[in-house]
Amino acid sequence: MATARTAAFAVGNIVTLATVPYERKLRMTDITIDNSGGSADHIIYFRDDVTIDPSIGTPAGSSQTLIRAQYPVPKGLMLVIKADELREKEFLGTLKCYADSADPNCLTVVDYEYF
Amino acid sequence: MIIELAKLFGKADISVRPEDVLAKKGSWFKFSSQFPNSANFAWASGRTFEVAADPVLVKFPVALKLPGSDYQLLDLSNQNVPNMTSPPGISGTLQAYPAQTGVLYEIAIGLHKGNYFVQLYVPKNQYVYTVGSNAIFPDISNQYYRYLGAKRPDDSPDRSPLWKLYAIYSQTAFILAPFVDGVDFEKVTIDFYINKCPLREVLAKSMQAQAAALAPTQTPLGAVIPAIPTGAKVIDDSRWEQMQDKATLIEWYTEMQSF
Repeated sequence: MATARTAAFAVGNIVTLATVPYERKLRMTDITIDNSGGSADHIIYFRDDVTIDPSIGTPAGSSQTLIRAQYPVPKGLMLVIKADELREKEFLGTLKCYADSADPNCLTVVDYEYF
Repeated sequence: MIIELAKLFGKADISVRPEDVLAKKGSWFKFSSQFPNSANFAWASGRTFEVAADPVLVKFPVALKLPGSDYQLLDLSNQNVPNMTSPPGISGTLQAYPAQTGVLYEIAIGLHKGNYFVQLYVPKNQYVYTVGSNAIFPDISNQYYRYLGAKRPDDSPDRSPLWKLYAIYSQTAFILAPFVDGVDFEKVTIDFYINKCPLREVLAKSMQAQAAALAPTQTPLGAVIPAIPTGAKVIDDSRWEQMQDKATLIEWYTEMQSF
């Protein structure tokens, strides 16, 4: 189990939380988004950046940016999401996080595991 | 050439580790006489061996990130040298076969959980898990028949692999075709547990005498018997006969597709 923490960086300032090992996948086990001291409502996005290998149908492969989860968090509140709701969200490449707008007082903490 | 432990249906539960189902020192193997008597296979064709020393187990994880409704071919043989700057299976072959005669690689296949299935060909486009009728076959491009004989991860889980392939030097290529099914993208991870078994031929006393008299000429039945290999183990005929039933039979690939 590992933990990553970041402030709410806006689109364009995407934060890498974890790079998934070659033969594993990643699932988040706990997310806490603390917007109690934030300056505005926010939407926090969790994105999977993955390089798809060549296949028979797509011999050149491809690069994909897949939004696996997004959570709105009103100003002044804290959102906690537990493992049961995150179990099906699998990350194949790199777990990245960003927000709809930057806010140093809106903090996101993610626990995750490889499997 | 292939062994698959059937899943136990009903209430039975099984959990095995790779080392529980793999050959050990002293395990016996019997190669079918359908192995050609050509240069690369004459040492094994129709002969019986035991594992001469403790095998060495090599785990080889191979992961492919593939798009949905698409697949890739994984060639386990040593035919084409891969580029090590690419992920295994993307360029060249997996090199999962022995590089010399006298060695057997027992390869247990562990499939990590995911939305995919695997078809097996020996060699490419020759189906193993199919029915006898020529009317249908596991065509991976066919939306209905791609599932015929397909293996899902719970058929041979990565922590309890139940599906084994056997390979000797220069043998016909096993081709795995993992197909991603029902999701946009998937990481297909297959653990190959390669159990490297050095072999020593086992002869019955009567066979030794016969071979010594005839080698390297033809036997009355027409099979060529090369000279007795150095280090062959000679045992009593009765024990040799007894062990024939306990030895794992390794078939030539055409035998698996002929019925």
